[in-house]
Amino acid sequence: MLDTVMIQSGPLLEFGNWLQNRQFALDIVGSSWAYPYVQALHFSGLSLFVGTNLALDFNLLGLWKGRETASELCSGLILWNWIGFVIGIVGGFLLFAASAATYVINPAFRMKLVILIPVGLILHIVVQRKVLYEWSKMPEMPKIARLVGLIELLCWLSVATAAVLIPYMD
Amino acid sequence: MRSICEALQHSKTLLTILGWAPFAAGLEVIHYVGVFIMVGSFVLVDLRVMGLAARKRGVGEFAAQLFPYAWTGVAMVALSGFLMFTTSAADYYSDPSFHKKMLVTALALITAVIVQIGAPRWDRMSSIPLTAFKVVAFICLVSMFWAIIEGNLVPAVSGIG
Repeated sequence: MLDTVMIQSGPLLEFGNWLQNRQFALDIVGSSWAYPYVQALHFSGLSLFVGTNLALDFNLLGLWKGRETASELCSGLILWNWIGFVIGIVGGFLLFAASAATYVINPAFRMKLVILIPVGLILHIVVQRKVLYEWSKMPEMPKIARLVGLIELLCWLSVATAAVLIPYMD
Repeated sequence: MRSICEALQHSKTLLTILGWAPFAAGLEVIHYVGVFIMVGSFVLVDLRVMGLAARKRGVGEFAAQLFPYAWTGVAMVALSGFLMFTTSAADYYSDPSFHKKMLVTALALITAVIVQIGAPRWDRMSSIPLTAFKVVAFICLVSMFWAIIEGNLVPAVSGIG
């Protein structure tokens, strides 16, 4: 309760109000076409980023396993994985800016941005480094790889769930 | 067809199940994650065919690894999408922006199937016309992202969803 009151009257809300009154944010909200295109940009980036993250997690879990090893798959995906991340961040920032004051007080958005995404990102970087530089040198994937793949998969599902819950908590 | 859509939209059983917020939110999560897996996997194969990703990996092996994930995504999108469609089936049925979304999605999936059929033959180079195959992969890639745009335009244009 105290936390909510502080946010509703604090610098975060001031920042949100300042951001959503920038011209580019007003242009997004003011146009009936800009918002869906910005949303599509965000989703396109996420498709590349989350889609390739989950593909690697499925491989680590041994689901629908082809002839590619996790390290071969990871090296093939890594460039577009991070390009997708950048596109997703740009689209996400523009969406956030359009209604920043509403987002900063939304519990689902705060959970997504402050806890789930940082945890997911750290885990993702650890998984990529382990797959590329450590586990690939072993004769076979260690059992922990499956567990880490499962945790990362659940983490991105939690991010998607928090994102879907944002309008429910407005 | 219209009468089926009317019946779906006004079904009290479906309305009760799909009107329950946790179920509706769960469907949305499955739909979005399905789109991410589907588009992410298909597009990476398209980029590989076009020579813009995973160039050290053989097209056939890379595609064989990603296609099962992509079709899992398609199944998630189709199942959740159909259930979400039923809540406003009659409205969607007469909505041109929804028709456009479905047409573009169909184009994306048809070209994805062509890429899937051609990918194992790619490594034997001589058996398929490479430029034509790259063009199909490019059309698939563009239609995947175009389908995302159309998906976001449906509520903006028609107010449904």
